[in-house]
Amino acid sequence: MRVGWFRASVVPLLLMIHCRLMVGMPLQVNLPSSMCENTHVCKPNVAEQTRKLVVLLNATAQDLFSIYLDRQGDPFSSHLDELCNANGTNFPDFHVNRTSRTKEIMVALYKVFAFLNASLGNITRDQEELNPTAKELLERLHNTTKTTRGLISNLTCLLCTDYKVSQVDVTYGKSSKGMNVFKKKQQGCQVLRRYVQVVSQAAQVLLPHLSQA
Amino acid sequence: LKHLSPIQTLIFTTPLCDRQKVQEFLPTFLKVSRNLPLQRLLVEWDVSDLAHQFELEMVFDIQVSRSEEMNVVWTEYYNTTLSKLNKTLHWSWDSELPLECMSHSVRIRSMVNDERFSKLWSRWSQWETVLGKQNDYTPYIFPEDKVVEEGSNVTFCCIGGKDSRILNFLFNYTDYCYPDSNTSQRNMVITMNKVLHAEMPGIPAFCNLSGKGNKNYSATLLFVGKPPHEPKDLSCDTRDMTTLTCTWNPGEDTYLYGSSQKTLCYQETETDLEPIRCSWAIGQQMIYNLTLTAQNPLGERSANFVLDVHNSSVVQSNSYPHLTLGGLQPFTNYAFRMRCGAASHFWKWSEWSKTIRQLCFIEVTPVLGGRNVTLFWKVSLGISFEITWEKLKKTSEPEHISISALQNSTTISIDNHSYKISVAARNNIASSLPSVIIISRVTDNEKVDHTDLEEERVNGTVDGIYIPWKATNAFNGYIVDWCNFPRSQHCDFQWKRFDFNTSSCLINSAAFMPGVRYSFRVYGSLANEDFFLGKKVGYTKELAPRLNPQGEITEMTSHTVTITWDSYPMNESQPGFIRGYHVYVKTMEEECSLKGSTKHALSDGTVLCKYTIENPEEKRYVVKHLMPETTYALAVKAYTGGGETPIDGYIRVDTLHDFPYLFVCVFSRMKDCCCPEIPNPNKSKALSCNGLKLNSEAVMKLSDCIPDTIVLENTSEANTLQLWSHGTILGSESKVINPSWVYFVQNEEGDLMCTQSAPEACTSFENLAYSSQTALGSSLYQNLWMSEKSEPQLSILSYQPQHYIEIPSKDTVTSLREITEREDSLRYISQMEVPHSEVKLSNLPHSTEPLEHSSYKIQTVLGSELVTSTSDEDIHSQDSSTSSSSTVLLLLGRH
Repeated sequence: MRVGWFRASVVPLLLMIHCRLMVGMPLQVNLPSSMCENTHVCKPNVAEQTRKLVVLLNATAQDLFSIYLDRQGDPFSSHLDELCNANGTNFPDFHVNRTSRTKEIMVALYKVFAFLNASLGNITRDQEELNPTAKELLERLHNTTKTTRGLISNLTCLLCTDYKVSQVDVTYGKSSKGMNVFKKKQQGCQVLRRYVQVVSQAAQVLLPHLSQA
Repeated sequence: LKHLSPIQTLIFTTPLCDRQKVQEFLPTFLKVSRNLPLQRLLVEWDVSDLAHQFELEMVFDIQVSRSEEMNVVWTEYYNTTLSKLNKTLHWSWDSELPLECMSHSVRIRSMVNDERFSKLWSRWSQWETVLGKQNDYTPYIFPEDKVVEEGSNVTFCCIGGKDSRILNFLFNYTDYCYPDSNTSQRNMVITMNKVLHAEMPGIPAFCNLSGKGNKNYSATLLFVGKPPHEPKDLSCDTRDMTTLTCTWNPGEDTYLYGSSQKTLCYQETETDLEPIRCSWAIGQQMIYNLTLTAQNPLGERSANFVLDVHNSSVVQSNSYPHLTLGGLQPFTNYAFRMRCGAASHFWKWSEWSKTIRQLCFIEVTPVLGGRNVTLFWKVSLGISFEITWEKLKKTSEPEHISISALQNSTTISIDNHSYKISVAARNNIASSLPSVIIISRVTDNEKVDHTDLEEERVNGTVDGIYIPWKATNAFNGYIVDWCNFPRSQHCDFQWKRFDFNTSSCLINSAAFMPGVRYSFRVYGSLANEDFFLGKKVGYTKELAPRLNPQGEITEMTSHTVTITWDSYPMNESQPGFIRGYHVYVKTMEEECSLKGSTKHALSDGTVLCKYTIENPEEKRYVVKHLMPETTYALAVKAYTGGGETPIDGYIRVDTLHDFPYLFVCVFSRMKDCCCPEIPNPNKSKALSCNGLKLNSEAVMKLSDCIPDTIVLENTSEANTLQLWSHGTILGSESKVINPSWVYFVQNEEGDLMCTQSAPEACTSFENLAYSSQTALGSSLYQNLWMSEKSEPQLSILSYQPQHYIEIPSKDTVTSLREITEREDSLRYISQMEVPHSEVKLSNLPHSTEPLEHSSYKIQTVLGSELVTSTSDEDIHSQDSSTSSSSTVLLLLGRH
C-alpha cells in the first residue's frame, strides 16, 4: 500500500515539478523534502567531481557566450553593455566567498545552477528556432545543459546527505515564450553574460572548501 | 432558379416592392478586431434579417481611420450577396502601419445593388475603434519580428513611454531618423524603403529615447527574405523497398530560417529542419503522385511529381570490397573518400563517404646480403615497426621483432629456405596492414641472375638523372633505388615506386653533386616479389679527372717509346666516365712534326704533339716515329665528358741508339747472368698455364728476362699477390663468377707450375717473375694514397688493384675489363680489409671504419654470411645468395 501511495502521489508531483523546471516558468520551490527524494549516500568523490564540473563549466563558459554573441548578430556584440546588462534578469546573487561556510556555498551554487538550468532550456529552445543552422552553438548549449544537470545532481546529493539541507528556495528567469525575437536573444545574452561571471567566481570559491570536505 | 423563386415571390407580394420605397439597411453589430501577426484588421457586421431574407446583392462602403483625429486612411466598397444561412459579414484589411502604433477605427454604410431598389447609401455606422498600444512607462517599437520580402517598404513606429521623448530611430545601425520636432515626441512613424536581406537573419531597429523611464530604448528585428522557390531535381530511392526517401533541391537561399520555413511532401508529411528530404513507408502502393510544397511566411510554391516504385532496381552487395592503391609516394599526405554505384543498371552515385586522411605511407625495402636481410625504411615520428618472418613452405613458428621509431633499418638472419617477411608500421593507436615480401630460396633456379644484365650509362643534367627501362606487361610496377651519398658508408639509401605503365623517371635529389657517380637499380615488381632489371649509372654533371694516369715507360727503342698506365682506375671514383686518353709528346722542336699526331698548343705557346686513345680500356700507347738518341717529354691525360685537367708533369725519356738488335740482360737476384740465347717468354714454363696464351705481340720489358727457376725470397709477398687475386674476385659481387686462382708453385723439378682451383680460364694473372717490380708498384701505390690524402673523398679508390704486370693478351685485357665492371657494379656498402690467404674470411671483421690509407681494402659484403673458405662451393654459395638479392620494395598495406 505504501509503495502504491508513493507511485500515485509523489512521483506525479515530482514529475510536475520537473516539467515546470524545464519550461522555465517562474516557480518558488518550497516543497519540503522534494529536493531530497530519491537521494542516497554520496559517493566519496562527489565533492571533487562537483568541483571539477564547475571547473569544466568555467572553462567553457566564455566560449559559449562568445559563440552565442556571434550568432545573434551585430546589435548584441557591438552594444554588449547596453543590451546584455544582467540587471534585467533574475540571475541569483552569488555573494559567497572563500571565507563562507561550505554549506552556504553549496546552497548558493544550487540556486545559481538551478536558475541556469532553466534558462539554458529557454535559450536552447529559442536558438533551435532562430538559428537552426548554428550547430556549434547548439552543441555547446546542449553540453552545458548536461553538465549543469550533473552538477545539480551532485549538489543535491551533497546538500541532502552531507549538509542536511532539504529545501532551497530557487528562482527562475522569465519564460521567453511570447517574447519577440529581439527579447529572446537579449535575455539569452544577459543570462549567459552573467553566467560567465558567476561561474568564474564559483570556481574560485569552490576549490578550498571542497578540498576540505 | 429554385433558389430565386421564393425571392421573386417576396418581391412581388410585399408592399416594399410595390411602393419602391427607399429601404435602408444600416450595418449593425459592427465589431473590429486585430490579427497582429498579420497586421490585419478583422471587421464583422450584420444587416437586418429582411435583407438576408431577400438575399440581396449589396454594396458596403467601409472606411478605416487612424488616431483620435479619425483621419481616413482607407475606403473600400465591398460587394456581396447576402445569404439566408450566413448572416454575419466579414471584411479584413492589412495595415501598412503596425496596428499597435495607433488606434484604428472602422465605419460602414450600405446600399442595395438591385434595380428594384433605390440606390441610396444608408447612414454611417458608428466608428468602431481598436486601440493602439497604450502609453505607459515602457517604450515600444513595432512591428515585432516582421517578415517581409526583399525590396518591400516597411513602416515602423516608436511609442515612447510616459515622461520620455524619442531621440531617434535607428535601422540596421546605419540609418538614423529623427522626429519632426524635438518637443514632446512620444510617437514616431518611419518607413524604410526597399529593405534588403542581411547576412545574419534579423535586422535590428531601435528607438532611442530620453526621459524618466528605466529603459531608454526599444528594439525589434525585421526579417527580410524571399518567397520559397519551386522544389526541383526530385529524386527518390529506397534501400529496403520499405521506406521511400525523396530528396530535392530547394533552390536559392530565401534568407529565412527556423520553423517558419517548411516543406510539405506527400500526404503533408512535414519535413525536418532541413527541408530537402522526406520519407514514408512504401506499402502496397507503387505509383505516387507526389506534391512538394515549400512554404515560408512570404508564400509557398508547389511542384508535382509522379513516382513509380516499379522502376526501382535492386542493388545489393554482400561482399566487402577492398582495393589496394598503388603508385603512392612515401611521406605524402593523401585524402581518401569513396562512393559507389550499381555496375549494372547504373542510376546514380551514392554520396561520398567520410574522408579519411592518411598522413604518410611508409615504404620498407630489404637489401639482401647473403642470407642476412637488411630492411630499410624511412623514419617517421611516432611510428615503430613490427617485423615477422616465417618459412613459406615448412611449418615453423614465426619470429618477431619490434623496432623502435628511431631506427631506420634492421637486419635479420634467415636460412636458405624461402621466407615470408611481414612488416607493419605501428603508431600509438594501431598497426597498419602488414606489407609482405617473399625471399626466395637460395637454390631457386628461377631467380634473376644479375650478371646477365649489364651496367648502362645514363645521362644526367642539373635537373636530375634520367633513368629509362623497358616496361613490360610482366610487372605491375617498377622500383628504382639508389644512394644519395654513394661514397659514404651510410649511403642514404633511397627508392621510388612507379606504376606499371611507367618506363622512365627523372631522379633528382638535393644531395646529388657534380662529379659523383650515382648507381641506380631498376626492379620490376610482381606480387610480393621484385626482380632486378638492370643497373644504370650516371652523373648529374661529369667533371674532368682529378687523378692523372701514372704513365710509365715500359718499352723503348730508338724510334719508339711505349708508355703504359694500366693502374688507372675507371670506376665510380672518377668524377666522370673515362672516355679515353691523350698522350702528349713534347719535342725539342718548336713545332710538332711527329707523324700521326696533332698539334696541341699550350697557353704558354708551347706546341705539343697529341695522340688520342678513344678506348678507355686501352692503357698503353706506342709513340712512333721518334728520333734516336733524342730526349722527349711525355704526358698522359685521361678525359671524361667533363674534359681533362691541364698537364702538370712530364716523363722525360731519351730514345736509344739506332742499333739493329737490342739485347738486354738483367741481373735480378738470379745466379746466372744474361746469356746470348735470349729466353722466349712464350716458351717459358712459367707461362705455360692452361688457358693462358701470350700474345705474339707481347713485348718484353727490360727486366723481363724469365728464368726457368725462381726462388721466392719472400713467401708472404707471393701470398699478398695471390690474395690480391682473391680480393678482386671476392670484391665482385653481382656477377656469378666461377673464380679460379692461379697459384704459382715450384714443382719438384724446380719448374714453376700454374694450378687452378677451377677449370675455367683465369681471370687474372700473376707472374712472380715480375715481382721485382713490387717495390716500384708499392711506391706507385703509396703515391696514389698520398695523392688521395689531399682528397679524402677518393678513398674509395683504395680497392682498385694498383700493382700487377700487364700481359698484353687479349684475354687478359678482357678479364681486366670484367674485373673493372664487376667492381663498378659493386653495390655493397662497407669495405673491409683484404684477407691474408691463410686467413679465413670468416675471421674478417665487418669493418665499418673509414678506409685507412695504409691498408689495402676492397669492398665486400656488409654483414655477409661468413665465408670459411675460398672453395668454389663457398664462392658459389656466396654468389647465389648475392644474386638472389633482388631488392624488394614494399608499400605498407600491400598484402
